[in-house]
Amino acid sequence: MTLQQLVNSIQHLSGTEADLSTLLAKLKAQESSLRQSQAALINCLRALDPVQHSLGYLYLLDATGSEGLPVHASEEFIGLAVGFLQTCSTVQIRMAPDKFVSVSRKLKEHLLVLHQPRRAVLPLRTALYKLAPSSDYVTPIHAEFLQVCTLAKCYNSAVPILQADISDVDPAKTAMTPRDLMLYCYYGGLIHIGRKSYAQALDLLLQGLTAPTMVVNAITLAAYKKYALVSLIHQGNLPPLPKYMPTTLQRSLKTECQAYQEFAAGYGVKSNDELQAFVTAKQAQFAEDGNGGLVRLALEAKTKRSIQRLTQTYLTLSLADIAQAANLRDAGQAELYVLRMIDAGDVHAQIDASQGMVRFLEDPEEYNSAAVVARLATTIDKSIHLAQKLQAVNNMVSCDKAYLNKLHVKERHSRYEDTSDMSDPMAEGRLSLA
Amino acid sequence: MEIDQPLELDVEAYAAGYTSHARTDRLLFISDKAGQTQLQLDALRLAAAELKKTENATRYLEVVERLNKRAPGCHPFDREWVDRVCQRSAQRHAQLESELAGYRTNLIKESIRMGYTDIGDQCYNTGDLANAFKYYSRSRDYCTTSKHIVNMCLSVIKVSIEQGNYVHVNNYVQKAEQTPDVQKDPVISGKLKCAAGLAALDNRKYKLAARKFTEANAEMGGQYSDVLSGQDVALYGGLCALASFDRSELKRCVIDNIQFREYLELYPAVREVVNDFYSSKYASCLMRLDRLAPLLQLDLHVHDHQAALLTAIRNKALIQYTVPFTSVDLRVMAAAFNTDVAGLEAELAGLIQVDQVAARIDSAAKVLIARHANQRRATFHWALQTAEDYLRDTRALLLRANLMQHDFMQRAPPGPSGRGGRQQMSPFGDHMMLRGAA
Repeated sequence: MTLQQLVNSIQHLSGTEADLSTLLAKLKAQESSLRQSQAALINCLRALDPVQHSLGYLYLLDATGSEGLPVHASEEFIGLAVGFLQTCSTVQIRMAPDKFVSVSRKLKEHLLVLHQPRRAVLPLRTALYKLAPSSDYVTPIHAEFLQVCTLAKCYNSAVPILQADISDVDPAKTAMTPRDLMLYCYYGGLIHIGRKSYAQALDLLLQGLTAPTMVVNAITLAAYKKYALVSLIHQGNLPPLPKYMPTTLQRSLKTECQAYQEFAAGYGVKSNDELQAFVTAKQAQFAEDGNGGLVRLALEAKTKRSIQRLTQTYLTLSLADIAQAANLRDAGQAELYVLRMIDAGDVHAQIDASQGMVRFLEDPEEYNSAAVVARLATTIDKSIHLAQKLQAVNNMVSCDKAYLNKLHVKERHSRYEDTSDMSDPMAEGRLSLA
Repeated sequence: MEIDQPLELDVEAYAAGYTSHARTDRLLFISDKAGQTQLQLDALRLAAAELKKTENATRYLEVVERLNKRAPGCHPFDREWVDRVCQRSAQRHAQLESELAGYRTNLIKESIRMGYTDIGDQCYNTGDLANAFKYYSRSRDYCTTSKHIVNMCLSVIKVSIEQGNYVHVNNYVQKAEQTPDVQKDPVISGKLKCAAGLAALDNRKYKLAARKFTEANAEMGGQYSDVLSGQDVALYGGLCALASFDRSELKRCVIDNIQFREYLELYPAVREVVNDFYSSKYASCLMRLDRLAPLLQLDLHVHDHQAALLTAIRNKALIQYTVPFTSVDLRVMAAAFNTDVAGLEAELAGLIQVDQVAARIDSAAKVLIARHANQRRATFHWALQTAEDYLRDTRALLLRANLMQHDFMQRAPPGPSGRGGRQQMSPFGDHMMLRGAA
């Protein structure tokens, strides 16, 4: 089949669903020959309409995409891809999610070569909305999108995406891979850290850490390092990781992230000076992991926490005493810290500059405003909604044939011997649901 | 108020409160703790004289050796006596063993029990505690009356306390208390309470110890002198009670307790401490405790716990002082505790941080102001927090379940590289350039 014939059939077969399936089969068969005639493809694309012939357009576009990479970027491809992602037909591209992901990824790569990640933010956001069947789904484009947001420092444009509760990975619908999920968690965590919403960052990073895996990879290790430091900043300690962590990961954390674990172990007990000495000794390693800034923040958080503890103990305290209790240089530095903390809402206090005294106040939140009622109401709504969802999943699992078979076999086993076989992760995951 | 020098220890009077092993054990303990003082010399000399009345030749040899090292020539070594004692006890041991063998072949229960008890006594007298424990506990199978059982238990308890094995002490106290009639005998039940108290003290369960000592019957008096004296009951019970009882318990179990008051009368210093504490004269109470401290250091059972008990009592006093007030002037309080404002402030800050005192310090005006927990606020905060935890955990659970459903597991790529850890770093690929972006 020549290119012209292919273009013709694309033009004719882009109507009904049945036609599109035929077309998809044809395109799959032609994939390798398409890749060989890259140059001619650009011209063919001009003959096609990205909206009406989205499926065919997608395949041709994908075949042209790898040209020049990873050294040169092609403005022509970027232009075509951006236009396509914005306008293409949702129904058609969902027939070939892997190709759609591939085109999005190539667009990102081209723009990264040009060092212009910002240009990819909007097209990728449109693309991920088009690919995901609903906001419950996470797609590989999520990870790509979050990556460009991180690189372009457009943290805020990522917020709506991160706020959606993802609960479904369906490789058939979204061409998702485990690696994409880990990247999603990792970059999502980075963005939350960038926005200083540490609690959410911890949740997301932990999600990445606990994703089932047979092998240890660099993404999880990097995520663990961030997780350790952010928990120190946010909570002042590193809680033990949950039991359902993959065992391979548990084993290698000790060897791969030793400096971080030592830092966390010493964080609560060592004095500021000792910690500083430790950090200086391991500076190179922290810097190499790109965590120098977080380590510095963790040290600052320790000082802040000791000032916060003082508010529980004192009503008024002189700045000099604060400096001494929190191990700061002098009253001036203490004033700076307290001032910043008042601004951030970390403490409630007034500084009497003439006498050098700080007066700590009680938390003014009385929980009697309309905003609190609204917050309670939304939380309750969310909880009910989630409980329903949980119940639905539970019902689905209890009707699942494979699960029932498994249960049956186990019951029969346990009648003869007491050792229960829990080696199958499927059964285990479902049991924990039930 | 007669607050004078730290209390001096009169070794002879002190030793007179004890009999048998307890006397020598305590004297030797004092000599260990006293350093190179006259006190040490006195204690050693008394111990040597005491040991010569017993059959414990090994111990005697040790003590005389130490005594001669400390002050050569002050105590002549009696070689003849040692030889005689050793020979006599060996003979007696052999005789008892053969008698026991005889009883065992005849299977007379009562005689076997007595045989075991006699050998146990013999071992105990010669200082062989491990064997004494063995024989005493063997006699258990041949006990027929509850009196036998109680006697056996008391012997085992005595040996175990000397060995410092308080697990056995607890076991046998329980056994003895389960036998009928034991509660009716005030002396025996008092002994058992004291033994249980010692075990609790060793375990750092001060409240339990206080309860046990204060329950001890007054009629026991000094009759447990082979383990502890009446003064000891007052001392241990008083200190533990101050450290762990609240005000109403202190009133009920100590001040109004007629039985325990008789013990307190034996030890006026402790009585005064308790009374001062209860009538809120903290300065004199703490001062008296400080004077007691060197004596506690020389006590066989309480020396390890002295620091912990004294700190607990001091904290208790601080807490009790603050409880009734909505605001306290730190200067007045410091005077009441005989300390300075800065030190008091630090102590109070420590107590506030561990939630022992519900108050906040106004460091500018040097006033402590009570703080009342806002239940409503705490409840709101807690409810919202719980809801958020629930939402987060459930979402994570759903996603994890979904991963399982789609068998979403990263596996090692097939190939010769196998399942190594480090080789699998490639999945990061182009994403590695992101390092440092955050």
